[in-house]
Amino acid sequence: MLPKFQRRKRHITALLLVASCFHNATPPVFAHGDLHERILALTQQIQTNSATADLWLQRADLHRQHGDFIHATADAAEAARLRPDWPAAILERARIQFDAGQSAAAIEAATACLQLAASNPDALVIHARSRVQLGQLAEAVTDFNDVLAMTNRPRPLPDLYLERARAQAALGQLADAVRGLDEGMARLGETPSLALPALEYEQALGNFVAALTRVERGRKFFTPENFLLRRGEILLPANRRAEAEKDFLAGLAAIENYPPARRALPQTQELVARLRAGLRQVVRPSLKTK
Amino acid sequence: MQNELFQYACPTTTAIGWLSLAAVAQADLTRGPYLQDSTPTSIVVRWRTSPAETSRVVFGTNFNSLDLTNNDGQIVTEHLVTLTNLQPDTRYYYSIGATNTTLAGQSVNYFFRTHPLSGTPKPVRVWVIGDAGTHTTDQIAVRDAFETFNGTNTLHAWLQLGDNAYDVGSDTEYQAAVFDVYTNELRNAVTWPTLGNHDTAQLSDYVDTYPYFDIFTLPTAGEAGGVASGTEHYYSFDLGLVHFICLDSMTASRATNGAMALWLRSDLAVNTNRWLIAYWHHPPYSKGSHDSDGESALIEMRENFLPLLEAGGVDLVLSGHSHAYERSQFINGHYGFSTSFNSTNIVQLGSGRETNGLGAYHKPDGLGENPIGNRGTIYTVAGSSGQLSGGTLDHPTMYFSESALGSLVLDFSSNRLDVIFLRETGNVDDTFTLIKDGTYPPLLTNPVALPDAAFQFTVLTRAYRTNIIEATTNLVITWTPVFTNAPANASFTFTETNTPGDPLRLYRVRRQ
Repeated sequence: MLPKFQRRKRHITALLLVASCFHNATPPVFAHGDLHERILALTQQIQTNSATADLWLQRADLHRQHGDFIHATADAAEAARLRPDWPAAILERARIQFDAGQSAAAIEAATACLQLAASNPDALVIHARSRVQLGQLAEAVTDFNDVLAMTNRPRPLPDLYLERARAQAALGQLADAVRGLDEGMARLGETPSLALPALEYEQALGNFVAALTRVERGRKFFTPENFLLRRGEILLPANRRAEAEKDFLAGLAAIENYPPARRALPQTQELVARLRAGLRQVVRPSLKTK
Repeated sequence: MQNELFQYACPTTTAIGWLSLAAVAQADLTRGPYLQDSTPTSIVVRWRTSPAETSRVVFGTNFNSLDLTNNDGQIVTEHLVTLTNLQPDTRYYYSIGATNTTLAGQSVNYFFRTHPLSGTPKPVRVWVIGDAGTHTTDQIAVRDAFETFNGTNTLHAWLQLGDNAYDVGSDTEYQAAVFDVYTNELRNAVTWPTLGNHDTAQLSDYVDTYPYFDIFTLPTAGEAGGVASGTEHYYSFDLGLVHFICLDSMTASRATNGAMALWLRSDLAVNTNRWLIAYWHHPPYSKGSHDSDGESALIEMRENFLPLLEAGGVDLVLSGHSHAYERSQFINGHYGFSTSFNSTNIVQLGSGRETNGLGAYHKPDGLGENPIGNRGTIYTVAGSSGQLSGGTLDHPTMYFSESALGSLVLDFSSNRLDVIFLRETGNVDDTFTLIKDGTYPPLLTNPVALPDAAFQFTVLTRAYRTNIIEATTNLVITWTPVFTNAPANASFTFTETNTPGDPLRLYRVRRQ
C-alpha cells in the first residue's frame, strides 16, 4: 500500500479538479475574529464588487453557520443569479435548507447540484441525510452506498457507515447494517463507533454466537464490569443461563470493590441496576416452574 | 546544493555522468524535521525535500554513536519514517537524510524522548498554544517567552488548539506560521493538533482533504493509547499518567449519537490514567471574541460533550477560538447559557493557587482505575498565542480573564498538576494547581504467622503513593515508623521480623 501522503496526493488532485469548477478566482475573505466581523468584511467587499458571485456565496455560508437562514438564502440566491448553473451556489442552497430543517427543499437543491456535478460527495451526503429526515430510508441507503463507493475518498469517515447502518436498521435490514459496518471497519479499523452498533444489531438478530465473538473482540472498548454485563446480556437469551449468571454476579462483585466515591456515581448505579435486572432474568424461569 | 560525492566525482566524470550525478545531487530540506504520533516504543519522523529523494533516519541513544538506521528507498518529497522497537522514556538523537547524505541532525539539538509507558508516574511537561498561526511578532514573542522559560528542560509534547495557520490553513500558510516558527519544538517534541475554523478555510465539511490532514500524522488505531477512532479528526493518546483526548469541534458531528460521541464514551470508559485532559477548538465557555451563548459549535460542545467528559472524570479542558485568556473556577455540571451558572456548579471555591486564597484544587484520585467522575473540571480558553481580539471577558464561570498574549505550560508530577499562563513578556499572569487525593484509606489484612514469631500482612492501598507503616505497643505513646514503601501496584506485603515479645503491638498505615 502506498504511504498515506501519497494516497492523499491523488485525493487532493481529485478534489482540486472538483473545486476548480466550483469557484472563480476571487480569493476568499476570512478576516480574523468572529462571524460578525467576517460577514462585515465581506459586506464591504460586496459593496465595491457586487457582481462577484463568490463573495455572495462566502457570505451566504457565514450566515448559514450563524443560523441566519433568511440572509443565507438571499445571498445564495444572489450568487446563483450572478452565475447561473454554478454547482457551488446550488450546493450552498442545499446546505442552508438542510440546516434549516427544510429537507424536501434540500433534496431538490442537492439533486440539482448533482445534475451539474454528478460526483459531488457533499451534495450526495446532504441528499442522503435529507432523505433520512423525510423517512425515505431506502433511497438514503442508496445515496450512502454511492458516496461510500466514491473512489476519491480513500478514507471515508465513520459517520457515513454509521448513518447508513442506522437507516438500514430502521428498515429492518439488520444483516445489511452489520455487513455495512463490517465494511467500514475493514477500511477504517475496528472502532467502537462502528463495532458497538454492529454488536447491538447482531443481538437484535438473535445471532448470539456472532454477538459473543464481537463482544469478546471488542473487550477493549468496555470496562471489565461493562464487558461482563454485555456478555451476560448475550448469554441470557442464548439460554446459557449459568454462564450469564456468573457474569452478572462477577460484575456486581467487582463493583463492590469500587472505592465509595466511584460506587456512588450515577453511571455505576445504572450499571448495578442492569446487572441486577440480568440476574432477575436468570432466576425468573425457575421461579415459574415452582 | 552539491554534496561531497558530487564534487569528488566531477573531475573524472563524462558529460553523461554529470547528468546522472546531477540527478542524485542532495536535495534541499524545505520542511522539518518534525515528530509525530509518538508512543512509548515508536515515533514518526517527517520532513520535506525539494526535489524528491529517498529517506533515511540514523538514530541512537548515544549521540557520539548513532547505531540504528531506518531507510526507505522510495523517491518522495514528503518523507515519513516510522521508528519502532524504541525504549520507553528514553532520549534518542537522530539525523535525517537520504541513503548517502545527511540533511539535518548530527547535532545534540536533534533529539526526541519517547513517551513513558502509560500509567507510569513520570513528570511530564506539555506546552499549549491556541490560535497561534498569525505569523506575526506577537506569535514569535509568545514562542520566545516559552523557550526562555523552558530552557533545557524536556518538553514532552505540545498541543495546538486550532487556527494553527491563518487564514485558510493552506500548506503555504502552515509553512510560514508553524514550520518556520516552531523549528526547535517540532524537531524535539511531538505536536498534537486539533482542527480550527481557519484550518478548514471556514468550511465545516466533514472531510479529510484539508491540508491539515496531509501535514499531520495522527493516531487512528489507538496506537498511541486510548481507543481506536478510525479517523484523524479526533483521537486520544497517553503520556505517562496523562490521557489526552482531542476532539473535532469544527467538522465532525457534535450530536450525542454521532460517531465522535460513541467513540468518546468508549475511550472514557476504559481510561485508567490518573489525569484526563481534553481539548478542541471551540470553547464551551467564553466571553472573548466569541460568545459561547451565541454560536452553535460552542453551545453544542458544551451541551453534548461536557456531560460525557465530566462523567468520565476530565480534569482540564483546553480550547481556543477566542483570542484571549480565560480560566474557569473549579466547576461541574454547567451545560446551559451563562446566565444559568450558579454557586451549585462550583466544586471548590478559590483561586486554585497554593500561594493565596484557599489553596490548590483537590479531587479524588482514581489511580489505577477509572477516574472519578463529576468531581470538578477547570476550563481554559488559550486562544491568545498569536493575536488579541478583545471581548467582554466576563463569563461567570471564569475565575480569571484577561486580554493578553501568552500560552499555557502544564506540569504533571504524580498526583499534582501545575498550570501557568505564561505571557509573551515572560511574566506569569495566572497559575493554578490541581491535586489528586486518595479516595479510600489503605487497608491492612489479618496477619499471617511465620516461623520465629515473625508475621506478615498485606496492605491494600493505591499504586505509586508513599505508604508508611507505623507501630506502637501502647496507644498512649507515639507511633513509630517501621516501614515505608511506594509500590507500583495497589497492594504490597509487609513482613515483621522485629518482634520483641510485646503482649500487644498495634500497626497502622498512613498514605501520603
